[in-house]
Amino acid sequence: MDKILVVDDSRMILEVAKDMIEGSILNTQVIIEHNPLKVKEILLSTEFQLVILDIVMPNIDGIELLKWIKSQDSIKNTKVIMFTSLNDSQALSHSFEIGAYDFITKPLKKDEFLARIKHAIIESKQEKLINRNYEEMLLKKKELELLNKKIRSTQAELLQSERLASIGYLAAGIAHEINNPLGFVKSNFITLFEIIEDSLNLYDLCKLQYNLKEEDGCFFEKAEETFNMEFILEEKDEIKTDLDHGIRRIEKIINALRNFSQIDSIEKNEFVEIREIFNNVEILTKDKFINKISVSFICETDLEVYCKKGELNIALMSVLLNASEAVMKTKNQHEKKILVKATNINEKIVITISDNGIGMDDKIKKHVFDPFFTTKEIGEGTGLGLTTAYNCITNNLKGTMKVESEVGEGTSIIIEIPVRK
Amino acid sequence: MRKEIVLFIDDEKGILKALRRTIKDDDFTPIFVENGKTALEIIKYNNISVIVADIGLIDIDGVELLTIIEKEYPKIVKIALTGVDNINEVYNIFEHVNLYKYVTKPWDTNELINYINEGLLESRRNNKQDN
Repeated sequence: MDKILVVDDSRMILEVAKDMIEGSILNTQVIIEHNPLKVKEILLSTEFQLVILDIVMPNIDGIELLKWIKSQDSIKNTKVIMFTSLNDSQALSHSFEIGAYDFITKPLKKDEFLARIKHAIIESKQEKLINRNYEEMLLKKKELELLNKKIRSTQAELLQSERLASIGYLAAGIAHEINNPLGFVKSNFITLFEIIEDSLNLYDLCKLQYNLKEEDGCFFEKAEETFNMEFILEEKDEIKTDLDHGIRRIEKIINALRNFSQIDSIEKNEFVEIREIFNNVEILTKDKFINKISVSFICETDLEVYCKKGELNIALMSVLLNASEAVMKTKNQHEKKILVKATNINEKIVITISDNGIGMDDKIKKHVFDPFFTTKEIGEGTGLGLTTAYNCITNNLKGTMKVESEVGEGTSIIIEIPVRK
Repeated sequence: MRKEIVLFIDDEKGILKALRRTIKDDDFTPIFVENGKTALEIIKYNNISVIVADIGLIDIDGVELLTIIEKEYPKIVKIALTGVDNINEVYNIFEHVNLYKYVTKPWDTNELINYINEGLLESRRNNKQDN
């Protein structure tokens, strides 16, 4: 039913207009109002296809009402026809400037009156249809844009995790290949230094033995100069320490690679309670954090993940250790805190690890899961901790892992794992 | 008393040489071989107390070698020394073979020597029970 509002201070005109319209145009309801002060309220409570306004009315005239209609977002597109007498030409032209659609002169000529109204209704309906289509289109466009963005980010994530999986295979091979030569390098290095110590002892013994004779003392002095004995004695311990550090570093990297590729994993998948994992991680990290960082674990009951227990342990440990390092670096006076929380949201287990540490800038955020990326001093970190966690979550558990961070505020790592039934 | 014999098997010469250098002072006679076949030959004609074997050998699979030794010479104490390419394999050995110790490369020399010495004690116990 199309609704038309007719406003005129003359009741007679209103009745005539109502009869004409309802008698000739099907499916139309005419609402008449002789008090222009009530019009605003009526317009805001009911939707009209068409409004017909008398120009000259007491208290508030048609032009004022028209202005008001055009200023209201919800009704400004409603078609308005002005009632006018022939001598109103100035007011009429003003009405068009404001946004009137048409005019009808009084006294009413039935055919013209109805024709203008019919036309206005048709146009109003078409306009509404077009507007609705346009709005729908905009909405669809937005949806498509969102979807497109999601596809692109999923693609990037997929690429990242695929790349990690292939690095995993490579890492397994490298770890094995290096372990053999490293085995004899390490062993020989220890033997070599034993030999050096033995030789030096032997030398001292000889010196002691021959020291009694004056000319032999001279001989040793000369020989020591030729072979730069001072240098040997000064440097040998430091060389040993440096080599030792170097070998330890290689061992550490290989262990990290092993963790990353999980080649040592003989575990089978099973349903593991997140609470249990949290307990393990808490026990393993307690000593490290005690009196330094307050770490709280919050876990909903009955959260289970189908996974390898050790793998998820390592993943969460890596994230937690990273958080602890960020927290220890902060110079703020506030209490150093880490919160580890697990909840079930829409069939996904969401684990967040939030800290109030130094946070990351966008550049670091972008590379935080990249293999061998580290912000630590050379030799201190392997840059594989978060990569290992990322690989475990995205490749093995088919979940997602994201980072939210503000410099100086802290970091949250958000892990989502789909629940398997 | 004649020194007991410890047999080292690894297909990498560098490993054997490094091992030889580290155990020169110890109270056993070491023999070094590069493959499983020779190892079996030596075991046949010598009274071996402890063997230290790599798992990924070229000619005989490490598991296979240890299984043969386990079956035919159950008194020999077996130590695995491996680069752990695949712990499934190690796990497999533990299921099939009564492995005394399992050491990963790169190894800690003192730890390895301790294991070998403990292995020698174990070997003596094995032989006593038999007599």
